[in-house]
Amino acid sequence: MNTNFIIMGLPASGKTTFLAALWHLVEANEAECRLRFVGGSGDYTYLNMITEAWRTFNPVPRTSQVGDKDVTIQLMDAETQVCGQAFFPDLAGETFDRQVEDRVCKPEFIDALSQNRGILFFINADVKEDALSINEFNSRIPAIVSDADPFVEAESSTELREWSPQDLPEQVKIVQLLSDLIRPPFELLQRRIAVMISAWDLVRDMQLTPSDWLALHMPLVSQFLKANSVYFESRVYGVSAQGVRLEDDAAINDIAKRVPSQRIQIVGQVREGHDITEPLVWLMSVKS
Amino acid sequence: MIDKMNDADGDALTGDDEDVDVFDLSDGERIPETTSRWSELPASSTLSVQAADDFLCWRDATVVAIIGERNGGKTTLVTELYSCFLRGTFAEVFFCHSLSLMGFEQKCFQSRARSGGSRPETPRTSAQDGLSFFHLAVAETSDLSRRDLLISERAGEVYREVRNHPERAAEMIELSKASSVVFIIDGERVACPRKRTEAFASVRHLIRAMLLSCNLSAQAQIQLVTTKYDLLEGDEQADAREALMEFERAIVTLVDGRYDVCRFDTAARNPLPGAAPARGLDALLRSWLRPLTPLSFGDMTLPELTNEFDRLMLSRESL
Repeated sequence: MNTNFIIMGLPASGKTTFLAALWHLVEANEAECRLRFVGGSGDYTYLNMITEAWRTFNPVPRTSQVGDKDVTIQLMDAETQVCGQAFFPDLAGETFDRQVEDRVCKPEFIDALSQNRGILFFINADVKEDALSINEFNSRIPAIVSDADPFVEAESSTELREWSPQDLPEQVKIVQLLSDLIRPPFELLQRRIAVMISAWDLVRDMQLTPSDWLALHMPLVSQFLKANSVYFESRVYGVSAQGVRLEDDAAINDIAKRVPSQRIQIVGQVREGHDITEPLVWLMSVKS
Repeated sequence: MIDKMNDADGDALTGDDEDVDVFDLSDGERIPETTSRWSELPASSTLSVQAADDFLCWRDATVVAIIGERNGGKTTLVTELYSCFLRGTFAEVFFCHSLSLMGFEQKCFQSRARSGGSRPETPRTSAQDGLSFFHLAVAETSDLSRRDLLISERAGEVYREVRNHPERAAEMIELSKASSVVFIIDGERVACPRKRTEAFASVRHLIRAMLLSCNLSAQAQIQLVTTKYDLLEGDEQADAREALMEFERAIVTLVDGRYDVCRFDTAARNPLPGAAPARGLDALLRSWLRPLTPLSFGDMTLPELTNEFDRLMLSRESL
């Protein structure tokens, strides 16, 4: 059983909220889940800090001064009774931005990936139209405005910007991060990757499966994963770890009366539930 | 370098402005350089000739040479082709890989709404940049078989020089390596009666220079690609279209059967509301992916073979 993981994702992609919800779920033992916390000594300061915020419907505190964190949780598979130490070396989202924009990464990250760890890759469902073309944009301007020469109006009201690597659309950044894993200095391996579409509650009404959502909103990422199945064995999940909008007092009051683990939602290919350890179980089942 | 999404995204799960991923640093809060070492990763810009050569040592790829004078739409053709994959599968292939993602993006930016521009533009390629290549790997949707393309990128001014000094075509290594040689016919100039003849002359001179150089692979296909074809539509452009067809027939005569010649009409970036982007690029891409017949040794210029071991290579073909 491979119990070491890599968590990847651009800034604000839901990595920490997932960890907070995961820690509550495996530790509270209040809802059905495949992996359970089996106790043991360790430093749980960080996990308790972020999970306290999660449990009390507060914004997860920023840890910009803390830097990267390694999270270790002793887990047992409820079906097989096999125990293992789940290890999540967490890198700041900013680190992945730098990997794309500055073309640098941390040596520890390269080392960790050489051990064929399962990858949890987080993508925020709240996507922006950051690759919208000018023609597409102009076609959305109402005809009456178009007749008034939108080019001239736009030119007078907007400032032309020079390109910088920060301007890469999010799906291109993600593909760059994944592409880096299939060329040196990273070791060429077939990896398992669980793509976690976070904030799934925002897009649930679209009635799409997580895979279909990815194909529709991040088509480059979806194509890349399909075309590179020799390098990436992938599954796509929709995850709602927070379960409620923190500015919606009425909704919080309502949901606070329920078991906290029921706030958590995960949608896989065929089923949905509260057990966000499901992707971990799949990642762990790979032979290391 | 922090993504500006920070201020708008808030919590990844609720959309709350205040609940921000704790691993994310705000603007200006980058982890100090002293806290960690960083390893360099390979660049993601267009490939230099050396990088393309290194790539070909590692993996087979089809080289596509895009030839034409400035403002004809060479770079736009390629970047719009890449942009199609940002919207989904295209021409029955998946996007598979690119070593030049940043290179594509840099050239695309001025066509994006984020640039703040009101008309799509493509930055000019400088003659000082020399020859470089976009890399695009695609996989068939049917069986996921992968094909790699190296698409040349060179300033139009250089090709203008080749018109003036045809012998310089021999120095164009993209020609010798290419299995598809795309000659850009600027549809905008064809649409204008006063510029049409010169537009045709430009292409004819370049093809003549290429034929003179004998610098083309025997299996290469000459592709006459008319860009901005949307400007050639309508009754008022019937003369232009007729002239274009006449010109294409003249090129077939000029090539005289030495190479396969085919034609494509494209409108990579039609600004009319409702117009589909990348018109004609699917057929063009499919042509670049056509299976190539392996070259016979008789078609290659081989160095002098000095030992029996080398000559064994030739005997393989007679088996």
